[in-house]
Amino acid sequence: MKPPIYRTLKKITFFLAVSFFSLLISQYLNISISKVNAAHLSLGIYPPIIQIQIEPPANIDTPITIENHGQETVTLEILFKPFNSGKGESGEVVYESGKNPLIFENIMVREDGKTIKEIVISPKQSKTLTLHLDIPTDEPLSDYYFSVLFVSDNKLEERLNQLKIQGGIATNVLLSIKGIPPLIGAKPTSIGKIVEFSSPSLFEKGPVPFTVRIKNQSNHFIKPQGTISIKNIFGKTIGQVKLSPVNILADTIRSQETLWQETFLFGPYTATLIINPSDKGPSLIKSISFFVFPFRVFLILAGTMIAILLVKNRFLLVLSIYLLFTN
Amino acid sequence: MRLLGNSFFIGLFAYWVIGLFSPSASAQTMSNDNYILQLDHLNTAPNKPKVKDNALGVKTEQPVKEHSEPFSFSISETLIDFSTLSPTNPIKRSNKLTVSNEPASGYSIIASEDKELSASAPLRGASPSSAFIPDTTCDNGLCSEVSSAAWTNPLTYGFGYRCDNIVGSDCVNGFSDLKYYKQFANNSLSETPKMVAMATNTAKNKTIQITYKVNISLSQQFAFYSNTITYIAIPNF
Repeated sequence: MKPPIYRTLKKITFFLAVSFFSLLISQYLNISISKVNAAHLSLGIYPPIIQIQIEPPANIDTPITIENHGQETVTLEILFKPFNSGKGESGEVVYESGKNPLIFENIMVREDGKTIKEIVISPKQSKTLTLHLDIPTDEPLSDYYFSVLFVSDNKLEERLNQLKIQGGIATNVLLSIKGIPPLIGAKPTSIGKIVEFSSPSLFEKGPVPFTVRIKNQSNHFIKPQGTISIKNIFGKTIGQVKLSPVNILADTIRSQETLWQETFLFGPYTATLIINPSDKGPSLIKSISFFVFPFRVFLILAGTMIAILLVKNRFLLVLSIYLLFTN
Repeated sequence: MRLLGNSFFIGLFAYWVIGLFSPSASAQTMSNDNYILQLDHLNTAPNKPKVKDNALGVKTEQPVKEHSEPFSFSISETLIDFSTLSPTNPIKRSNKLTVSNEPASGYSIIASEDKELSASAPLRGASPSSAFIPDTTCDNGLCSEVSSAAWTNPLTYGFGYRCDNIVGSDCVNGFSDLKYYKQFANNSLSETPKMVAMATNTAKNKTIQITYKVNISLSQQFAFYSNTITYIAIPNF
């Protein structure tokens, strides 16, 4: 017979063992979870595009908000990269290689008034930074297109055979340094050109696709407004498509595809594109025609009619022969 | 038996109590809760741009308003472990890239590697060398960071990737055939980063999967091979 103290001690020992074991399991699970989370990167940025038009000298502060949606603290390096549109016409950014232009010495990202080159953001945290531009009087009149990049720094140690993945996110800045606007009364000149306004000329039914390509002939980016009006054979406007306003960089072409969603169409139509490259300049206008004819429905109807006529004629022929021979 | 049962439940209760009030657990929860609260009350563009001097205008692509959703980019895994490499046994690993709230004009993701998969820690017996696994040129010897080609032959060695659409169809051309791979643009060779995905239409979420493939020859030096791949999500202008 063991003394009661022995049983009590045994209970306490077992109780402690279970508690310790449970804690060990929980710690192990925590470590596993954090390992999984550590391998995830998620960033957000606002706004995605900033358009700035200035007449030097000028000082500008504009906010950029960067967010860390992940579970780990991230360190992001801040970089400026000039870009152009390359050969594409859809607004893709193509980074320029080589040394950054001197103007970047006058552009900086600030946090609480201090210029920063990198930023540390805790999990689920966001920071609103300031993009500061200090454009001197003698800055050449030109456009500058650049991205402000926030790129993560993967500091995981190199071990085994592995790839370290870094992620980054960008906001694009379109900076236009303009001269003194022309005097009031000066004749406005066109700064754009419709390079292409097209659609297939023959349709069976809607919707009708349109391709619009606009060239910016000026030295500064533009964001034209445009609409397509569709008229029927009687000259009545029966539809209108508003084009999404897009930025067109200086001396480049931007292409847009759009759809007129109308489906029940028949006959000839005229589509007129009206583009306003700027608030002051003349509008650009171009018209095209297209024809909608439901071939398949027509063929089925025609085939049915012919078949009916053939059957009818054959019946009459047979009836005539029958009557001829019976009489 | 009864003793064991009682002790077990008492132990579990104790664990629950300890777990509930342990400082580390509560700190994590509270910390995360705090940040989520901050995020919930976040004014993503709280101030109108401050314009001074001769600024003619500053505009943001989306209207400046409270609770605007930011353009977001996520990478599911930031460490791809190939484990042990075995000659003529290709190893594939993958991760997912997701873009949310893209602007109306679309977006692109560009990618590059800092160098070829290079020996980072030579093993005993191997000279501390500049050993590396070259970027694949695929079975026909012609694929590059620009063009893709089939890579199925286990005797074709190297490192490459392919892109598959998970949500949306944003992978760039060249991967419609499941056997097709490409190289990453190599920064050390002054190659410019290349697009892996792009879109000119908008959607709430887009996801692509990047599959990394590595295959080594019998003559590949024993070492740990690694490099860094960088993906950047860029809104179209």
